[in-house]
Amino acid sequence: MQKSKTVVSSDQFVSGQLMIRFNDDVSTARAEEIVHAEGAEILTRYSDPRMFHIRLPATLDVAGGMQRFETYDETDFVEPNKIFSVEEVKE
Amino acid sequence: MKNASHKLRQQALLLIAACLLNPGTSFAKLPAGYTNSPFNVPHVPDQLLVQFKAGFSSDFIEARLSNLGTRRLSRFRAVNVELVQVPGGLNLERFAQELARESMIAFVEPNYRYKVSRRPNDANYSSQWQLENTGGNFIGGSGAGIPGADLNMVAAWDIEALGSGSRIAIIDDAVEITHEDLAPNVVSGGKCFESGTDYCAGGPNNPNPSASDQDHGTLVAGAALARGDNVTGVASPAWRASLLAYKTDLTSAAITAAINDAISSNAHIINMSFGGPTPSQSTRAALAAAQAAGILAITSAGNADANNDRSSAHYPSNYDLPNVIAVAASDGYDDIAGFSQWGAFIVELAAPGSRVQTTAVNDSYRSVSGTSFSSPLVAGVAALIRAHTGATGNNAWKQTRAHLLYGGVNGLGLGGSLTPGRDRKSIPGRVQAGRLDAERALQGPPGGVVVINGFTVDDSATGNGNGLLDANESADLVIELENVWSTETNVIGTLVPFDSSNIPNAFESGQLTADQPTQTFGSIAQDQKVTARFPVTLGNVTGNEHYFLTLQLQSDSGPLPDRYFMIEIGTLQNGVQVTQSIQRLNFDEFHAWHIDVPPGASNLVISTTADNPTNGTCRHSDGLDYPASIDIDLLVRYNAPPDYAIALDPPEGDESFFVDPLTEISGNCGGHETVTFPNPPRAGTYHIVVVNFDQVRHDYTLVANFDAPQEGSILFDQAQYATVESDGFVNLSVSRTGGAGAVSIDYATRDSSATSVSDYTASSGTLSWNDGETGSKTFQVSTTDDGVFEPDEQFFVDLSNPTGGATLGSPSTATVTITDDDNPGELGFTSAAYQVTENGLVATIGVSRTNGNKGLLTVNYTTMDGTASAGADYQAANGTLVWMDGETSEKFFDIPIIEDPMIEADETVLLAISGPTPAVVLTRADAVLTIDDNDDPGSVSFEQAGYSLSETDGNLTVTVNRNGGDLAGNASVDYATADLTATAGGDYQATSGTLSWLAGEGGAKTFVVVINDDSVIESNESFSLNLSNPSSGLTVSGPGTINVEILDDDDPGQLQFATASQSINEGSASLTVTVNRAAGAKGAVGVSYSTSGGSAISGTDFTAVSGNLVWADGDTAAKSFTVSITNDSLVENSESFTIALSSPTNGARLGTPSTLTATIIDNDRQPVSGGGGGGALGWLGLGFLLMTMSRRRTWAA
Repeated sequence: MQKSKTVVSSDQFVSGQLMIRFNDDVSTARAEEIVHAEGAEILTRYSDPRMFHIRLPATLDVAGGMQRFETYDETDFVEPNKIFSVEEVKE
Repeated sequence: MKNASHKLRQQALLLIAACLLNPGTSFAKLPAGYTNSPFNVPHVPDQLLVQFKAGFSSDFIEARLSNLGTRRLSRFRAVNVELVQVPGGLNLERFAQELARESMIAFVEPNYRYKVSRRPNDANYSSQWQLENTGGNFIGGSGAGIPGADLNMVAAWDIEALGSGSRIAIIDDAVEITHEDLAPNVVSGGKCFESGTDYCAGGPNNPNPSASDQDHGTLVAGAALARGDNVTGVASPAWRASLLAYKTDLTSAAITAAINDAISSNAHIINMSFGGPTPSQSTRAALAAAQAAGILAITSAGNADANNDRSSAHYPSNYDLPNVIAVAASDGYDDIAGFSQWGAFIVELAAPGSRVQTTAVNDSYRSVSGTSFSSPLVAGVAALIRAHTGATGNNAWKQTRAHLLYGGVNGLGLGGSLTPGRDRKSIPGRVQAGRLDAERALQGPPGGVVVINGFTVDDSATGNGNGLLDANESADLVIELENVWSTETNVIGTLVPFDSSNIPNAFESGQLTADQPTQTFGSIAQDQKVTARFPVTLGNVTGNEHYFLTLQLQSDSGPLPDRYFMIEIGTLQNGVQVTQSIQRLNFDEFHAWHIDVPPGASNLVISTTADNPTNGTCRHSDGLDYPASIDIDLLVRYNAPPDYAIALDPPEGDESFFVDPLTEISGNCGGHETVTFPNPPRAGTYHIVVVNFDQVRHDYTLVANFDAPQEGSILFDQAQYATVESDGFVNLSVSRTGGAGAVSIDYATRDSSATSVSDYTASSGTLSWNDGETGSKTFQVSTTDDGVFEPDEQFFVDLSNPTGGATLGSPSTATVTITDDDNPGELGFTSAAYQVTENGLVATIGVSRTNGNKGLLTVNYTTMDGTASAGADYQAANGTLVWMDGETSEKFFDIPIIEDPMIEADETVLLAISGPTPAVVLTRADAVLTIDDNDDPGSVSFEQAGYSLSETDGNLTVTVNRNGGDLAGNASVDYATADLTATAGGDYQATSGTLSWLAGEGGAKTFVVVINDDSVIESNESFSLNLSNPSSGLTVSGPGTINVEILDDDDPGQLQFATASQSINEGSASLTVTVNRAAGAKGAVGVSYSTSGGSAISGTDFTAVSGNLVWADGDTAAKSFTVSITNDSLVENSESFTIALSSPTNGARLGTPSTLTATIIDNDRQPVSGGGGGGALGWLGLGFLLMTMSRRRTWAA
């Protein structure tokens, strides 16, 4: 009897972190207020003042954090901090 | 002769006119190798070389050339060749053709421009086939490579070799910027971004590797812009372009930060040789910002040898941003490399990516493979284009992109010629624009650059409407073209049909006929996308086939490059097993199939089986590799192709396996896979992908089984239908699911609570379907609007008697609910409580009609006494309120209110409605009206908050005022005195009584309290005055009790000094001392006084005195006496003595102070002199002098 092959999603991401952007009509102060209200910490700010790389509080995992931030109408998008791979063929 | 000369001039004019009127063909638009025209190679504009046949003199030739409209520039006597200038603006090729017809001319040719074939002198250049493929420097599975199957850099470098001024940002795992072949091109040192805390251990400005596995970015950077022509190491496309190096941990956060930094660092090109299966919106947003900054992003297409157009998820290369260019890898045979991902629409270019020689960490060099290295090669060429064109501004990316896509060529291909459909690795059909030719890209497009952006299958009118091309089906291929550069007018496309019988050794089978192969797209401006429909018919194809099609294009400016694309065929029929060879040739590891499942089907199962060879391995869930029998996997998704990114077993891929969550997977080791769907399956198209995971050629069988709908199953679409009575009808629909043949069914209504007599019209009939016809039929039943208020009612409709073999499905009975809309509504007082003031004349009471308005509606109303009495407080009211049909406005009735002058409590009237007609529900049948009494007698209050008077004042008159309200009715209030410290009978006479006012009378009333004058010396005493028992409605405002203080006048008083101390200058003759009598003046009193010495000595400093002071009865005036002061000449301190009072008489007391201190201030001080100082020094000197004198004074005493 053959065993099942392990099918692993390679859609990997950094645990405990999210990328989030707020709508254009949201002030930076309000955006930061939302981040802090959820207990998250801003790790990186970008030239787009409404986009942040954040660390979630220990009580939230990535899926839970996304769910929490998606409840805000002001959120443009929130996504995991995805991990990409280099594309060299091992010969 | 004149005539001959005239004729010659005419010939010249005709020659020129012909060339002006016939602009001819712009062959420069065609890819290299697509024309034999000598004018399609570099030459000097408007010049020709002409050789006349032997025997003509130089003067004759010059005259003849002049007559032909040209001018001799040079004459090469030895070979009898003339260099001539042709008028500008003519088509040079056509002019040359006309000239060549002259019988005296031996040949005409362009003045060719040759090149120096510039090559860099780097040590390893000869092994860099990607730059110059010599055949021998690429050895692959098919032997030596094809010379020229490269980027054509040698020719390109003749145009632009350095790329100086262009900045390429390499975003990767790390870049060794100290590498000997990279360091000279490095600017700004580089940056590091991370999501964790240890990746940038070397610091935020250090992009160098910090771990042994961070070797990728150095390989990538060297491919793009290793220092060229420096004797050392390797060359690259852009020898002198500037390197912005970004080390990242390849997370969205770090990549986004790096793109941000590249923008602010004025990068022109960004290279990203990495990927992931799902998009990152943040990274995409950053790339969009890069576009706005004029930056072109070059990305690798991925190494999972799958078709990115079809479904293979790969980002960032798959972002729908025009400034993102995806690059596939080609090999030394000008084929797509076996590992490379590709896509005729989403992957724009191919570039060498197999065994690319480039820089490596630790100052070394390596040969590496991957689309990771194809991408930077394109980035390097893009840098040359930026430098060559000088493109700047926010649209600079657009010009560079247009050059790059124009630079795409079909490649040489294994065997030399392109045969779509036969050579399945060939570049045409695998990428949008072709393999990059750097020389052509640098030359740039003379006109538009038109590519295919995609296509769809529209089989809605002529086929089964599933959007896929099925066997024996006609459909439209809707092809979309995009023009990325200047406008092309009248673009026409011709679709070349596919016929496998015409292709030698074809792996495909069948035919795709282009029914109307030529279609017009029309004018396509820059950035515009235009579609055209190409009707096609597919033959009887039973297997999985990949058809490569060619779209030949031309416009008013001439032929445009052909474009190629692939269409995959794979139709399954229910229960029909297909056997298919997989990996018949390269890029055959993923087979797409589909099956249409009709409504009513059940038990859908899709499965594969396969042979059982013993090659390859398969990784089990324990993480170990076992000898594989075969490894076929099965993906199935409903109504959309599976979205997947699967890197296959080694040697090509790292075995990652990403599939979207809507796709069902069967991924066992082996070839037996099964996907079973919940029953019943949804009707629609199921998209199937069979994956050959181990990449070893196999045959597999594939079958989709489902139970077809029973023959002519007929049923109601819904079990419940509803209508409103006034609508007058209800539509019911019945469907036939599946089956064939003509069928019918009868229907008939049946009473329930609704009857066909009064509520609906009894109906029956027959519904019929033709042979093969499915879908729903609708019939109508009329309902009756009776205007009767009644409950909702129901009736049934039954299906029966199916014919033609059809069966009765479920539901076969439908229930129709008729919602009654004749409801007259409900009535009720609008409010439970109403209120009116006694002088309000009338109370208005509202009754509301709600929840219906159908018909005339009435209700009676009446009033009843509560605490109010009809006739005394209000007029009784009763009557009927009426609402007309449809009327819902609130209705009112009035109750007159009677005002009286009586002061009384608020009173109530009871309200009721009854007897509604028709008998609707009374939601609030009673209510209460309260009549607020408005008769206010006002209030009474003491005029003063209190009194204070002397014992001797006799009578106290107390005033009480009535005011406020409307002074209604007579009013009265009782008053009385009460002891506090004063005692009635001793200190005052107890008093009580009643003050009264008539109706309408306000103002003051008084009463008198007698105060007794005694002779007892005592404290002040008080008693109180109280108001109580106000008459009905009257209120006591302010304090109802106030105090009266009786001041005692029997105290002889106290005797005391006016002050406790007095000072006097020694020079004054005497001190006057004052004694006061206070707190009483009863009787004659006296007091004694006397002095006594202190520091002032009696007889020396003052004269001692003593005596008595006397006051008469009632006398409170101050008394005084004097003390004589002695004025001596001694310089001394101030001195003091005391004076004391004693022995008061007749009950008088000593007050405070009774002792006085008198101070004599010396007036004998001498000014201090000497030193001439003054100011602070003078005062210091005085202080010293005073201290000295004081000592002497003490001794004297």
